[in-house]
Amino acid sequence: MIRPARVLAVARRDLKVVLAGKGSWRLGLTALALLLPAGAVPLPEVKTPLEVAQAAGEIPASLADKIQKNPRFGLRMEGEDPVLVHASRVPPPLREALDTLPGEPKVRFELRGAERPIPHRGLVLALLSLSLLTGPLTESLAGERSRKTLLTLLTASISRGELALGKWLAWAGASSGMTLAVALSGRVTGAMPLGLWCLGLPLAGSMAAALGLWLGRDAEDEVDGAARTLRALPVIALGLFGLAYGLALVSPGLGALVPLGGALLMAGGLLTGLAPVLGAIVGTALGVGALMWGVARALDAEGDPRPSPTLSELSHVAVGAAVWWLPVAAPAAWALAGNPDLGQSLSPAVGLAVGGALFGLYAAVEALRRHWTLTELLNLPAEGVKSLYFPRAALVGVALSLSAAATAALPFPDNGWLYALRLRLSAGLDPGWAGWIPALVAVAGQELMFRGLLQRAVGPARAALFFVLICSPLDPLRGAAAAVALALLAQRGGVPLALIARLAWSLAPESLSIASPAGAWVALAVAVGAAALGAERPLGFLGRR
Amino acid sequence: MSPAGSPPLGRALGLLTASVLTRTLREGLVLRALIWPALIIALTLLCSATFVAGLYASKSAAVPDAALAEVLVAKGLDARVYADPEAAFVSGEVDRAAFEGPEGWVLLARFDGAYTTMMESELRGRLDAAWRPMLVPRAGRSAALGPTTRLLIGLLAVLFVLYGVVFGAGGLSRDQQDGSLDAERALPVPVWVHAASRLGAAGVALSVAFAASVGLIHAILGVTTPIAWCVAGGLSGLGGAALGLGLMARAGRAESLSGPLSRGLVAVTGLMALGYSAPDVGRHLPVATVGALVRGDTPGLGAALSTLALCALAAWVFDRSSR
Repeated sequence: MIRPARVLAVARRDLKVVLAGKGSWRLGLTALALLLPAGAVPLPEVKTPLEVAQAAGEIPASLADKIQKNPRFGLRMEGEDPVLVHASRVPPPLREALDTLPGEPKVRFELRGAERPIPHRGLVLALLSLSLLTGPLTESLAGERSRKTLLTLLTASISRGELALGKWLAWAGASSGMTLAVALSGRVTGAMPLGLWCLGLPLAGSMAAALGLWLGRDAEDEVDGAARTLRALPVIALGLFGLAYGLALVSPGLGALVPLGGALLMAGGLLTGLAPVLGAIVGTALGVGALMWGVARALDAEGDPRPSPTLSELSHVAVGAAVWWLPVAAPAAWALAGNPDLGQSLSPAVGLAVGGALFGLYAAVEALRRHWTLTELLNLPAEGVKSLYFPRAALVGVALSLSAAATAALPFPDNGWLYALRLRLSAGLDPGWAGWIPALVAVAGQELMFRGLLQRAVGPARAALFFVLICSPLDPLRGAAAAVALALLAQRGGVPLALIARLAWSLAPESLSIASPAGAWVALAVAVGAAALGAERPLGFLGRR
Repeated sequence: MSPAGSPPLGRALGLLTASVLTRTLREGLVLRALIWPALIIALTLLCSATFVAGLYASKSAAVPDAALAEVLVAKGLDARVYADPEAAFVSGEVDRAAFEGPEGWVLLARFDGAYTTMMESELRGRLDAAWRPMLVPRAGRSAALGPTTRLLIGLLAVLFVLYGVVFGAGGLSRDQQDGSLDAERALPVPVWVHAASRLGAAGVALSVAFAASVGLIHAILGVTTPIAWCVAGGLSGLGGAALGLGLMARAGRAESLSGPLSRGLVAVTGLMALGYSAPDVGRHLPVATVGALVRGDTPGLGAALSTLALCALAAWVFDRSSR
């Protein structure tokens, strides 16, 4: 049950706490400094570069008074008869100037694309007001939690819902008041006329306040809360605006229903008519209600909850896939977008080095979070590493380097973007082709991640599985054999032993590779056998350490 | 010379910096800061590829004669001969149409872009027009998408500068509240060392995280000046942290976090806007270097010196506020 008097009391208290002392006028002045120029100052008419007839290169004398010369502009002209314009598109003002040449226009160009409505500056005002909420919202919930005053509130005779709604009301109201005051002053200065768009400002502020409280609902302290809101709120706001904009092109009512997105559309003057406006109000109300329910449920939580072990393992896989696939495999995606040249022109060696460095960084930071020592991160055995194992690790590496033909064991389409992805990911297994430094960074990062961090955290079998999923998903058999051999080595001598094998694998001459797939499989079997030889518990590989 | 019984200043500074950095990393803040930009890049890449593939992949064109169609097909367009190209365009069957109207040749297109320009170029060439557009050959283009990647990394740099303000102001506010600052002050080292260690830790964390993000974008899109971006981003993150710490220290315990945080965010936004609008000046100023580099002006030595001066000022304010 929600009692309005108690909601109002919580709101009043929240405003008093956050705006205590000089905080009120300082926050107010900051808000005005940011919002007034956006909403109330009349702006001079500024032309974008494409609205001015300009070009680099040689401008014919007959056009010198019509086209500005700009050596930094990405469009170049040359020649006299004909005048050649090097560009992927000709901006309308330049076309207009060029059509004054003798004998022109020979071709009348007409662009009949769908009109894309452009939002007015009310959208900027709404977006800026969202950024102002970061500080107060952080202090409102995360600050109370870190100061332990939230406990006092929770023991008072108010419900969780009243507490959450009170905090929301305080900042939704403050944000709405500020933006509406600025909009009104814009009317006075003549910068912006009042209209239905003004209703979008309080709607956007209300939804942003709810979103900010929800983002920081289980933050441990103000820094945690502020960092969450700062990085997520703008992305969510722009994402929802994009979604609403796209849907509004199909049906304005549909776009209006998107929480926050519909309100931003309205603030930008892109929604007109009663139905879309009602849609935006309904969308905002539903969004605020759902988020406040989530906040009320999280109020009893003691700080940031620990994720479950399964979730933690999944997060390792997700992060690992992101940091490896993006630099190593993503350039192949340019071919999909019709620009294969760009993908081919990017250095795969740089991608490997970046992927390896990111693996290493992730492993190091994660080890620090787990309070591990360097010995623990490197997965070194307590009894030390026997010198006998070093040449054996090199032997495993050389055997792996002979196995490139094993890739042919699985049928695979030999063209298309999937093949390109497979080539790029497989090249990350033995990156000797990339040169010493990228190869060393790539394999050191992989070994720290899989034979260091993951083998210690989740056990060798799962670490090997994650290695196959992330580093060799399109060449799984060869990747699995390599992962087993390396995991067995790491059980004896940790990351250093696995690294020796990887370096021997990467830097062995390509000419050593066995051409027949059967021979390559024998080489893989030798690698796994050599890694397992003499182990006290070879099947201990399957258990957790 | 340090007083008897107190550690050497350099060692104390190093140990305190490492301690603050370890504490920050263990809280997971920097780890999330590392991951988030990568997620944004992935989404941007996916959206860009979908947008380009969805909007500009159409190659359909209607022309009135076979010879023109043949030339356009050779250039990669899906050109077909229609008795009435205009009708084919209006009905939505094709996205481009060229035909001879009562007042001369007309080229209709649903969107502007490389294939439309290619078609216009061919048409104008056949008509001996006084000007014609020419596509720059792919082989002649730079692998690095200059302005696009500059804008993308610029946006990321803005995010890291904002993180800097949060690290500076929020970290100090939190340490004031939980008593760890008072515990640190009991150490026999000058007060400014506590400010310097916080700035050092924020600088290291932000620089490494930003360099990783630049590396990622460099691998995906190609960045023209990756080292300059790493320098500008690292310095600006440090500048943001100095502003946040200085403002929070000046506010003291009399004011909560929201005031200094908001002022810090406004100040760095203003500095970056200054750098963008006046790059010649901005390349020498703290934080403003990011705005200048988006315009293509690499940071000067003045940027490093002025950032250090800002850090010194923040440490001085911290020292004064502790008395």
